[in-house]
Amino acid sequence: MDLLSEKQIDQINDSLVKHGVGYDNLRYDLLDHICCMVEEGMERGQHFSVSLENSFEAFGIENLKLIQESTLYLLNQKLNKMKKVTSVTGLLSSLMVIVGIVFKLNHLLGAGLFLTLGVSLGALVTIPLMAYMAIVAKEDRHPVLASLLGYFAAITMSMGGMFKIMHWPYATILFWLGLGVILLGFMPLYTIRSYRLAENKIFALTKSAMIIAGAALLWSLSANNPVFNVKVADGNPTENSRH
Amino acid sequence: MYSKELLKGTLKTVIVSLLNDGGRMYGYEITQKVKEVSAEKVLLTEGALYPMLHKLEAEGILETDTVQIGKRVRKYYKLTKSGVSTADEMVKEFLDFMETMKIIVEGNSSPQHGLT
Repeated sequence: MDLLSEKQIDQINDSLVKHGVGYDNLRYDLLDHICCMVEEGMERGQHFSVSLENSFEAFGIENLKLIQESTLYLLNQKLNKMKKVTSVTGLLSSLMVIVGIVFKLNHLLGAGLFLTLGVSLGALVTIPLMAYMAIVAKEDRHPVLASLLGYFAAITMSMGGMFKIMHWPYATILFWLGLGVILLGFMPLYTIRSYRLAENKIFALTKSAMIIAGAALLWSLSANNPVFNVKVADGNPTENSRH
Repeated sequence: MYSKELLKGTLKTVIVSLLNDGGRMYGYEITQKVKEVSAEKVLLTEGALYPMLHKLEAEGILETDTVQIGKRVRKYYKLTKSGVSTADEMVKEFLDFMETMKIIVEGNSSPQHGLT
């Protein structure tokens, strides 16, 4: 049973696209399904156009987009739940960090608790979830290694920042590790990819240069800021004496 | 034809049962097969079938082979190795569920109901 010409198959395919079936993997299924229905009608003696009309009517042409929506919903169910959790924890974490900083600046009780909970939630739940979605669920278009390094740096830097503020050990190591990963790992990969893909190469390089300048600024601030620059028991007692 | 409510929740079992003999089937073939073996009492809608086929494929229960037919692609669905054991479990659970339902329904509709 192979009655349809290439032109007729194209016509059915165009109808599917026109009615919102853009997901290729599903469109192949639906195209074959409708072709089978049309061919069955033609075998019973119907003309192509009549059989096509009957098939679309039986199928419910308005249902085509709904089928795609249902398919994508089922496929992305887990991811959608994950996105919700990421959004809620991200928002909660940011809120707690802001409250923590305001409390800290005003020397109010509970600043440490808010900062610790906020940064820990962000670094240990939100960012790993974002990394999972970007790398495993392929939501990110960046190379896997660049994404891994970027998220790792985000975790270590935020934890390092929190450790510094809380006067906990190993803060400097964490913070500088994150900064090092960004400058030596993430940035070269990001720059190479941006340079390759960009139409305006100079603009791509300028963007990277600005990010590096921003990181360097953060570095110098962290080295001179009295909030960061406190005497801590992280095996680097001479750190403060430099300034 | 059975109501949609009654068929809801059985689609997964229907699909894996059909594919459980090691064969492969394409979407239209599945709808026709179900129609035929159920004497048209069960009609699978495309709106339910294809989202479920894609979900089962994403879960690793099904896999696909594609065959070019003229200018269109036909996707054959079949159970994966791990899908075979999942299918066996699903069918077993479903049969057990039907037995239980039978006991409940027949028990409640018997004349002795409520007398003991």
